[in-house]
Amino acid sequence: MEKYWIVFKKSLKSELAYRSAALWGMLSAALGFLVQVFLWRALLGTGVRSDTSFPDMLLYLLINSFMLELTRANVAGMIETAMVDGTISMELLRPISYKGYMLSQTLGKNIYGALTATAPVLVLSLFFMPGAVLPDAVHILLFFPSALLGIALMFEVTYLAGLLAFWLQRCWFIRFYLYGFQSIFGGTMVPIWFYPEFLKAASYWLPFRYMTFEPINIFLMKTPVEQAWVPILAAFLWLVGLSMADKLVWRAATKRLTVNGG
Amino acid sequence: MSFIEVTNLCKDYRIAKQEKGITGAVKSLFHREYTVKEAVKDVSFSLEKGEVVGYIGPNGAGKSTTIKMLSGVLLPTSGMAKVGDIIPYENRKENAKRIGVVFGQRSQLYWDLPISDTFDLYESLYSVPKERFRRNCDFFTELLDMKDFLHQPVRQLSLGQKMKANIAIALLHDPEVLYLDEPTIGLDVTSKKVLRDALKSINAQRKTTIILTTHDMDDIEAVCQRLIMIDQGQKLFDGTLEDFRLTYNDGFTVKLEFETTLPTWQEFENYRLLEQAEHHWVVKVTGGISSKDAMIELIRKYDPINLYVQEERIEDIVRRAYG
Repeated sequence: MEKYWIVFKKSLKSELAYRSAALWGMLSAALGFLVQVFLWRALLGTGVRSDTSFPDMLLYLLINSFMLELTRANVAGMIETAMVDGTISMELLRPISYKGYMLSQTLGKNIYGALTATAPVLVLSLFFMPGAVLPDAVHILLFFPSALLGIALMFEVTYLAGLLAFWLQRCWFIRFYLYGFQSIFGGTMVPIWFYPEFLKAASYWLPFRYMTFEPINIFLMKTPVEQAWVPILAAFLWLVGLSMADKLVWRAATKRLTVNGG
Repeated sequence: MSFIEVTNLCKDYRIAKQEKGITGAVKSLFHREYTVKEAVKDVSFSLEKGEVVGYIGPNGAGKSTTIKMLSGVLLPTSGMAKVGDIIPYENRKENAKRIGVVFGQRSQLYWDLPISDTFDLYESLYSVPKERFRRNCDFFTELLDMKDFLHQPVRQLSLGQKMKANIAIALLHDPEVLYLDEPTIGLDVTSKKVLRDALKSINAQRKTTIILTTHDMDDIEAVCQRLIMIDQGQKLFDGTLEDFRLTYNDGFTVKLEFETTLPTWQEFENYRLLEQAEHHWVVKVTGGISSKDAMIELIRKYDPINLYVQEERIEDIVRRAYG
C-alpha cells in the first residue's frame, strides 16, 4: 500500500511545480461554474418544473464538478502518451501493479485539480447558496460510500477504455466518447431528473449514472434512506464486474504490447 | 541449471508500411500493408550468476528487444527466457523486484521533481531495508558525484546528470541482475571510468549478474569477461573476449619509423602497407604470424629506427565483424 501512497504523493507534488497553471485553472473553473449557474437560474426561473429548486441545482453543480474533476486527468490519455513515446516500458519495469500505479498517479493529479479548481467555486457558490437544505447525517453517511464508488467506477471505466491504446496506439477520441456517454447516460450535463422516460430507462443499463448522479441524489435526499442500498449495490456490482473484465483485457494487452523507439 | 536461461527466443514485430508523401499517407488510411520484422530470431544463451556479459550488435540488431523480454516488459513470440526460476514476462512484478535496468535513451525520473523524490519512490517500491537503501543512496550519490544537483528539478539537468541518476536508481535496491542498455550515453570521460569501476566492484562484491549493451567498446573491454554478438536478430558469437579476438582478429599492425627517407615498399604475402607518411609506415600483418617473426622480418628488410607493435582494438575487430 505504501508504494501507491508514495506514487500519489509524488504525482501531487509534480502538479505543484507549476503555479501559474493552478491560477489559470482556478479562473477557468470559476467562469465555467458561473455560466452554468446563470443558465440554470434562467431555466428554472421559467417555472416549468417545480420539483427542482435552484439551491438543489446549485448543490448538484457543485458536487458534480468536484467529482468530475477527480477523474479529469484521464487514464486513457496517460496510457496513450506512454504507448506513443514508449515510456510504458519504464513503467512496466517497476514492481507495482500497472492499474494501481495509474490510479494513484491520476488521483494525485486530480486531487490537486479538484482542490485548486473547485475551491474558488465553493467560495463563489456561497453567494448563491442561501436557502439550500443540507442533508441529514444519515444521508451524508450514505453519500460518502456512494461517491467513493462513483469515483472508483469513473476510474475503472476510463482505465478499461484506456487499455484500448494497446491496440489502437492513438486513442484520444476515446476521451470524447466517454465524455459523451457520461453526459448522456450519467447526467453530468443535465440531471437525469429532466430526461424523457426512454433515456431514463436506458441509463439504468449502463454504469454511468452511478458515477455522480446517484451519489448526488443521495446527498440531496432525493433518494430515501431505505432505497439507498440499490444504487450503492449497483455501483459496487458494476465495479466488481469491470475489474474482472480489465484483468482479462490487461492480459491480452500485454501480449499485444510493442514498445516504440529503442 | 544456469541463472539466466534463454532458449530459442524469438520476437516478431508487425510494421505498417508507409508510402511517401501525403497521398501515400492518405492511401494507408484505407489500405495498409504490413511486414513482419523478426527483431529477435532464435537466440539462445545461458549465464551463470555473477557473470558480466557484453551484449553487442549494430543498430537495430535486437539487443534492446532481448533485454525487454528478459526484464518482463515484452512477451516473446516464441521461445523462453528464465531468470533465476522466474519467467519474467509471466511474473513481471516478482521479476522486477530483483532486477535493475537502465535504458540509456529513457528516463525513470520524475520530470518536474528533483532526483531525491524519485529516490523516495524507489525506496518504497522495493522491499529493501530502509537503512540499507539509505546507505546505497549516499554511496551512489557520492560515487557518481551527484550531490550538487540532487535537489534540482530533473527538467533542468543535463543528459549526463540524468544518466547518472538513472544508473543510481537501477542500483539502489541491490538487484541480483543488472540490465544496462547503453548506460554511458552522455557521460563524460571521468564519469564513464567511474561507472565502469563501479560496475566491476559491484560485480565482485555482490555477485551481481550484468548484461551490458553498448556501442562503446571501451565499456566492454573494461568490464566484460564475455561477449555475445547479435546481428539482425541472430546470435553470431558467444564466448570470451579472448575468443572473440581470436575468431575475428585479423592480425596486428606494426608502425615503422625511419630516420631519413623511406625505403621502397615491396608487397609480400601477409604484409600490407596501410598508411604511409614522411617518416613512417603502418603495416598490417595477418596470417597468424607471431609479432616476433614479423618484427625480425621487417627489421631485416627495411631497417627502421623504431618499431611499435599494436594489437587491434576490440572496436576495430567489432567494426569488421559487423561487416
